[in-house]
Amino acid sequence: MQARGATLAPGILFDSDMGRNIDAALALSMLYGLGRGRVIGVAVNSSSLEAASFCDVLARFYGSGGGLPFGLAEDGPKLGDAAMLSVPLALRDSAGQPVFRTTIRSAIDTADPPVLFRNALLTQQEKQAIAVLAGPATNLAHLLALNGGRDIVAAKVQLLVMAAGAFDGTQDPRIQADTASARKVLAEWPSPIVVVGTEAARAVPYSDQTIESDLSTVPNHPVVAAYRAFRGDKQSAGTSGVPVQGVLAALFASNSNAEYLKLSRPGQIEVTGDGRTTFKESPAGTHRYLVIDPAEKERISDAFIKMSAVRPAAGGRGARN
Amino acid sequence: MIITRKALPRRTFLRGMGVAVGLPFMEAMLPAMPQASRAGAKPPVRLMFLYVPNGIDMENWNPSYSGPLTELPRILKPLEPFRNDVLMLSNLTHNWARVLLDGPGDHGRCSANYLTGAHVQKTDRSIHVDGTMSMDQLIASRIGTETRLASLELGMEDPRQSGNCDSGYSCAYTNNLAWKSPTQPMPPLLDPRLVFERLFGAAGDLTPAEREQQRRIRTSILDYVRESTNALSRELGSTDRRKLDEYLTAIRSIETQLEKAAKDQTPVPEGMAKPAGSPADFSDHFKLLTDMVTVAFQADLTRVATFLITREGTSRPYREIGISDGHHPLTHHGGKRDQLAKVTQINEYHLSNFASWVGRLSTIREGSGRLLDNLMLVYGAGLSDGNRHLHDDLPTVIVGRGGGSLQTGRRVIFRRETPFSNLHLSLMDRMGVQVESFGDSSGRLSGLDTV
Repeated sequence: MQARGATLAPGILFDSDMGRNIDAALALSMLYGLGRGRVIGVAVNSSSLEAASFCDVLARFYGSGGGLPFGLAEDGPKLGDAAMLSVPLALRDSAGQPVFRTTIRSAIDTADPPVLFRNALLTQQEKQAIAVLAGPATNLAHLLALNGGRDIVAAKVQLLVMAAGAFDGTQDPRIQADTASARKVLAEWPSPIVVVGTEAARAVPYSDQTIESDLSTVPNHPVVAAYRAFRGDKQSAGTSGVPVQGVLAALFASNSNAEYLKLSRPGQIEVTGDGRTTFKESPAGTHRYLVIDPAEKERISDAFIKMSAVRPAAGGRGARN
Repeated sequence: MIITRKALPRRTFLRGMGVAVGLPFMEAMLPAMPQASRAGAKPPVRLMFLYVPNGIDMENWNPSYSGPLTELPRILKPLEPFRNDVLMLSNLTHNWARVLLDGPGDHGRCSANYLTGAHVQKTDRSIHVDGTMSMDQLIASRIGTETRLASLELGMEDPRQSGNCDSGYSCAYTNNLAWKSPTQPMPPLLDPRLVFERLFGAAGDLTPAEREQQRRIRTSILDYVRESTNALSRELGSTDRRKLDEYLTAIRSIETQLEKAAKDQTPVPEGMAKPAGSPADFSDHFKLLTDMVTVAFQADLTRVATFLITREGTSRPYREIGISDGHHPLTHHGGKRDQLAKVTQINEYHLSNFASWVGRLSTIREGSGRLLDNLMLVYGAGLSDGNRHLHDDLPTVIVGRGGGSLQTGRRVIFRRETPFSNLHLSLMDRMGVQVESFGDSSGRLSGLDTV
């Protein structure tokens, strides 16, 4: 709980396509690593119970469980088989018990994302919260459409960081998955927006080495288990390196004043008919996008490592070791 | 009274000497048409909220299953004979009652928030609930002109409307459920005699002197209306005559209870504020008030009522069942089994009184069915776990079938954080009052009328 008038670090909402890519898992892990109480609401845009369960696992691992439930888009898209979720959740210890504990058994253990976000925002002081989106904008569009939702966003949210879009003329599947919602959010969201495009993520990929040398020092790290399952799929397809829009967004949300994170001039971002994002500069605009300065790539990668390697606080480690 | 061959108007009253006694729904009120067509003339749906304070022992409230109700948990056990008329709802949340940025005062918030679904401003002076009005008053404002009383507000304890009752929250918040505007609560009637007069007094309110005169000479209100009763009776068929007899007998029984209460010199237990003219015994008081609600519903005197059984945060002891500790302190049991056991006992006691009333209601015929078929009695609390002041999974049961709009006999578990205000929207629909949103609603509850 925040006390009225107290000065605290911003509370963070995190909405993602958890399970489609390791990006969201790494990003959420980094945000939980900021400390207990910083992540105030988490939702997934799919109808996958495994996606919500994995969020629960991460929260418990970092000692942040027990607050509001996790949001699940009950009528959202199905995920299909996502090894990065199913493999860690199926792990058993020598006694046959789950390695990673979750209490999510069915949709009734989860919440409707817009209601969850609204309730989470009401715990925050004015302009105290930051929203991080690493997936299609469906849940945030529903939040704006909710009874009283837009006013609460206007009152409580200082910044939305969207890991969705592209500014090199390409298309981002996260926008294409729900162009109507992306348009609505870009047009109606009442706070400033910073967009992290796919080109920025490709410029600073997340390396295997970080996972294997830093995260793996913590026994039974759920992100390591998820990452290995995820890489197992992708390596067979011959890919290398992981573009991590969500991780960049999490990094910006947690440290927006970092000099190594450069932004475009202000303007207006829109979504075209074929699902591309365009930027039109305007001094009165409230939108910007992240620009990766090649000279700062190493510092950004170092920041990834520093944030990712945070060990769970006392009371965390939801995994049975 | 002039009785014609036409159908008896629904708004017929037995009148005499400043009183007007409404009538129950009778066959004679159905239009003169074939039996098959008469089936379409349905009695109105009536709604009542019965609120208990300080939360519930949820371990003994929630069944371990969803779907059809089979064996009921300990607290709900008294409703076992009527379980086919019970719809149990789980996981409904009142978010505005939570701490949010307002600090302590969960009791002050949750009662004022219960029917408004709105934020309650923390003050013990300039009270303000940040909504428009409570849902019962919204219903009353839309359909209240169809009945003699737009709404009825009842309670059993503590008339205070000012002062600090919980961590800076006004007693107006803890002692009222109904709000006519953001700043105007509708204080519950505590004195059964006043309730009786509100129900049966003449349409123009009596002066205190007239009321006193009436009280002095009264043997029974039924004596005043005897002439019009006899006139009506001669025009009724045998079924309606029997129904009228039963109804007037129920009114006489209420009068007897009132007379007994007036003579009741039982010392009031320490910690309990006994309203003037009320029975000292909890069960007697509860029965008297609910018997009057029965008559009010039978006679269609009102279609919406609220009953703050005891005020939120009350420290009333329950010596009637051997508990001398205050209710509120007991609920902060900190896990002590002996204290929790007493909370469970109080919860059971409240429920058993409610179930006794349901039992009486279940025998009353209305139209081609039962009165209960056309009621929605919502029994619940604004806290679930009183020890931890939780405002999610609020204990809620609806008894009655809402005119066939509720599929009862089962438990429905909604998703977590589902706004309690969604229930308000769904109930207002059933009362014929459609609004787009209410409080912090996110939509209607689905699945109340279908399995």
